[in-house]
Amino acid sequence: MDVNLITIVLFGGVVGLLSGLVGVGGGFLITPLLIFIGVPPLVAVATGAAQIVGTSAAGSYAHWRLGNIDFKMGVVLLLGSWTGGSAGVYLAKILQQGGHFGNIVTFLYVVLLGIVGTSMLFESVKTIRGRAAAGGGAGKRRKQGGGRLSAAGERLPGQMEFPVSRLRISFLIPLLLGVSVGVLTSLMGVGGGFIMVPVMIYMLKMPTKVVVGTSLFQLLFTTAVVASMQAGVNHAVDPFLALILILGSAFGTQWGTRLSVKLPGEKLRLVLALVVMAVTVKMLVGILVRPDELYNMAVVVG
Amino acid sequence: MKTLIRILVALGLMLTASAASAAGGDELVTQLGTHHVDITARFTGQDVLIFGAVSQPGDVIIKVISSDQTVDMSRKARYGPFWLTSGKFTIPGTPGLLYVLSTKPVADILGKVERKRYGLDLNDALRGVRPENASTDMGDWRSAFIALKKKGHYYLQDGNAVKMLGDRLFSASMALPAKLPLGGYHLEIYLVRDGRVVAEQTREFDVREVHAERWVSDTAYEHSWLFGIAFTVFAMVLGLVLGIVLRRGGDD
Repeated sequence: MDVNLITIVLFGGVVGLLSGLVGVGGGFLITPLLIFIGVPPLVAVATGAAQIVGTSAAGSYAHWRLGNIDFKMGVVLLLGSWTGGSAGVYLAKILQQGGHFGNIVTFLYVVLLGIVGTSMLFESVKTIRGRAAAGGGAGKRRKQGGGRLSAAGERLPGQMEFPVSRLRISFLIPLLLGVSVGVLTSLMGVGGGFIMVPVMIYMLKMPTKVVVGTSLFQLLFTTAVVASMQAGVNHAVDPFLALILILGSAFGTQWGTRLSVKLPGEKLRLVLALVVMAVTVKMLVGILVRPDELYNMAVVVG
Repeated sequence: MKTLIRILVALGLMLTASAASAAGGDELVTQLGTHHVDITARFTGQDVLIFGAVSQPGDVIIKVISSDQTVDMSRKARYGPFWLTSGKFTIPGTPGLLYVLSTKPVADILGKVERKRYGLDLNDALRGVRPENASTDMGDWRSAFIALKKKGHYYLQDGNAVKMLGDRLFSASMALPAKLPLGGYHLEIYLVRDGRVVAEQTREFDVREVHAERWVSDTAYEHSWLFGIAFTVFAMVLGLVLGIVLRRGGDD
């Protein structure tokens, strides 16, 4: 490990702080930051997944104690995400052998962070501006989209009852949702909460409490399997790096949670949106500007 | 600590100097400050000291070479508006670390043929090395390889690094970088007079990872599945414990 120890502790701390403040996972920030400081993309992605295992364990446990987890839904999601995650790990191996993994990760991140950052930016600007004019059109739009998906879910075969989520839906929908999140976990080192949560709340209309618990539960066991496989198949989990990140973010999250009580939430969301946009722009510039160093070297044996 | 080293060096120099004069015929006597470099998690590089004596004035060249490495190199190329990695290739059998230290620039004291014979030009470091499974145009990868190695302080040619003390004693300090190739390091010390190598000696030292670090990285590679699962479970437990402990601390 030839990257600066203090920088990594700081990253873990800052990302933990942000997730404590705003309540997002932060996996989608750790991986690009690691890549920026020179960690090989595959190691950054795999270690990012291992870090999420550590940071989501405590939260999952808390939600389990509170009875917020729909285990039936969780198991269907996990069946999907384990399939998608395993496929993703082998896909990563193939891409890595051809030398294209870094390119793919960069493009995925530019697109994903671009979307997440822009929507967060709009959302937070709207909240800050329109707090006087409460309500807004966002709810209506969501209802329409959600209506279509639940209608499709009712027509599909394999109907299943999910009593905890108060939902009757084809098991294919959570299964496919799981598959896509699993692939993202192994290719990007993210937990996928930023996709899972909106889909569950707005499209499947699950109770928010259950959504948070269930998505954390599936995220914990998805990243656990993906991290194990990344180590097993690709030798890509750096134990020291992951350990430092887990420690840093655990402390950061505690600080963030305590600070968030005192700080205004909408403005914090705006800050996070700006951070995400900045990371996107930096990644984009990285592939648009001619690099100083055209060659890259990595020791394989020795 | 520094003073202690200085005293030891001085003592060593006196010993080697007397050994040199006692031996008479021996032109070159050398001594290494250490026989092994231990890499721990906090390793940030180390200075290795070499000193010696020559029977008659001359120039000294010290070549340090580590065990061979296999490296992956990739190259970026332009595709439309994007600069992307255009593929990679594997290069086996490259020197992981290569230092050529001397009292004067090697080119000033040895001719080209002699330099080639003893491998004292960094540009010759990749002689006979062939990349494997190259899929794309690699460009001038040899120059890039050497440039990257120099930048990381793994390759070094310094015509001022060996200091003569008087005209019989010499010493040199090698500042080894943080992420060292492991294994045996081979030192060749040459005494040069009138454009000719008149005496040579070899020394060895070992770079090894110690204790827990070594064990963890070995296990992580050799038993990758076991490591992956064990580490994941460990991460889960650690996260759980940290979460509970820190939260409880916050409530008090």
